[in-house]
Amino acid sequence: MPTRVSSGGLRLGDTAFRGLAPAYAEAARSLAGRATELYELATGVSSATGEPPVTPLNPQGRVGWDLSGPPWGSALRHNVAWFSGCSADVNLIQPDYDAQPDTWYNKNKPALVKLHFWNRPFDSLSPTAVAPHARLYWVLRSVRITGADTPTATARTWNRRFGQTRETGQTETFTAPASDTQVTGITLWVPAGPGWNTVYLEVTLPTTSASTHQLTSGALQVLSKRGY
Amino acid sequence: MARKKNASFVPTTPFDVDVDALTLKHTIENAIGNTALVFDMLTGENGEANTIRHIGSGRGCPLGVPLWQQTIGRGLNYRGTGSVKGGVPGAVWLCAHPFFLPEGETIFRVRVRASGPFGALVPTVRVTTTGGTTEAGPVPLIAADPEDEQDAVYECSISGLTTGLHLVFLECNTEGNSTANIDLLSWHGYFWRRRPETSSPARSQSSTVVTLTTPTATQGVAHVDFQDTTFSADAAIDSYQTTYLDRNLNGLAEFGSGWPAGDNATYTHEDHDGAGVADPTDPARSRFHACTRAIYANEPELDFPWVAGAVGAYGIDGLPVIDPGAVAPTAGMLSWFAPYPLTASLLTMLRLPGRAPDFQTGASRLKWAVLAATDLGASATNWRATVDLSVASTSAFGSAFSAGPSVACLTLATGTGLGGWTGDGLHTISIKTDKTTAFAGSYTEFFLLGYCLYWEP
Repeated sequence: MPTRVSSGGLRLGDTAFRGLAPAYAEAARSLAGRATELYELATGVSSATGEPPVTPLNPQGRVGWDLSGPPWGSALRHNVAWFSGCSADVNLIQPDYDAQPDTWYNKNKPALVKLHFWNRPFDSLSPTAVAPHARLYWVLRSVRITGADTPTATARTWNRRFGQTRETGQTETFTAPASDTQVTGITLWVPAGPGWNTVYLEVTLPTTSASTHQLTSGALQVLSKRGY
Repeated sequence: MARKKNASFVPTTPFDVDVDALTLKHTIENAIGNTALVFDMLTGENGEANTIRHIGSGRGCPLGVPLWQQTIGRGLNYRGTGSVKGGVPGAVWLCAHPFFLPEGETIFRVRVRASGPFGALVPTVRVTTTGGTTEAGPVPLIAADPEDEQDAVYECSISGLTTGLHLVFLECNTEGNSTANIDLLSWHGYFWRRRPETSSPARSQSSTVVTLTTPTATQGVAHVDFQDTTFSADAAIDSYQTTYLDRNLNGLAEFGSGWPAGDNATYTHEDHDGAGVADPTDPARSRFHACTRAIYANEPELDFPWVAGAVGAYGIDGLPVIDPGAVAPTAGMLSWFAPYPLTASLLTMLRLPGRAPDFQTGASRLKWAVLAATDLGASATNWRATVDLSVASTSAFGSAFSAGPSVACLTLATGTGLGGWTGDGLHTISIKTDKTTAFAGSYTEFFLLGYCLYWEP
């Protein structure tokens, strides 16, 4: 027999406690039990030493809110994974773009970056809501290597974990800039699951383009805190 | 009078609230006292010292945010037969950078992904203090399940570290393997914890639409305090106590879980713009447990690793893995080599997009560290690292710190209180270097190896 009570899942509204409302034992149990559950969820430990917690384990398999998104806490915006991180400057010596075949692109060759990354364990939300870590947003930087035009590039992204392909993923267009510039930010997203994911990013240029560009860096980020 | 609050959690047994049992006053009193304790621990109000910082040991569940997750995608192939600064291929740091281990975390996993087997290259992982003293390793990386990919995956566990800043090295001896032709794809430090799929989420199981106290424009969780005299010997339980205890419980459940209380269809404590209008992107008005210090000035702050990563390989013998010059080298040991500046002036060596959590910016706890190597007998203290966090590339704010302790060829620069960022904002993280003393005309003496940015209260 546990030494402390849980609420049994019973949550109550004002009507249960109005002046002449009947006093049910469940009301006291709910009040005392929910205080116990809140203590465990906040502190991350069982409310009784040596006994299992009265709350279920979080997505990490631990006790308590871990800020991985509802119902385990409001998520935090941050980078989940990123690639490269170089700079474009004649005074910086780094591997030339030929040595970075994944990241440069022109009308004949797309950039194709594969991001393999660990996503924090999280709970899926209901079919009408998307958990914060279940939808990650790209932000990219790009620079022109040769040529003079600034063509419209198309970015495609897909997650093989969910059976997505190049054709079934999400797309966004941007103007490929001349200087090292942030080119996307809030609209190109990819679905992600808890644990390891393999996300692809492809950037192509139209056949009319006469320039070569390079993705200098990019990141997948959590944008939503409590789901969509 | 004193505010009713339990100094520590006081349980209520199932017998106290069983059907037909008397509802004793102490049952309600302890529920109110426990709720006040949880409120204070989450918000830091009323002088509570044991705040929820997510560091374990009763201070909240650790977050398990990965320490670093970097896609590299560069070749480890031998680039021609030309000069190698070190003379011959040998032991190299494929990756070397600082990283921050949050408080409450003691063990993590390291994963390396390559386009093919390392074979005889046998990479190992070593962790040192910022002063260069080995704390863990060298730990050999063991081939692991590549899951759905054809790549080669290697993993190991690192344990026994204390919280704070460390240096991590992915070491590899390339001697005799100069024809290795694989790509170093990605490099991860993460916490492998995952709940079994069968576990159930902690959501409401009730169909009751619950009530919360509606907060004012500037109020946080709308918590109602009780005085301890309310529970004096002859006092009775009244509906005010039970009603507002119930509301407090519902409010804290929404505050902590980030989910509408009970089976409510919408939030009551939605972030707002200061006038009560919903605004989910304004960190200064967050009504949820996110350690923003927007509403509660003493709200606990979090240890949080933001970004960390390597920039290029360098020889353990203290010499670069390529023959540096004024143009990108076409020969050398590795195409994944540490970059170097050709100017003494301030130069951006690396840019990376960074989305910041909604932590307080007024007294920034954002810290940084940059690891570099020096060659040709150059003095590391002649150089300086600067980290700049321009917001969407529109403004510049930086802080600089002279190079710190030297470990063989290595040198570390660190900084604290980094400003120029906004909570919830998207930033361009720029790592810059310059030479603080007269440029002696010697290019190629300074090489950038890695970086780390993190929040530490």
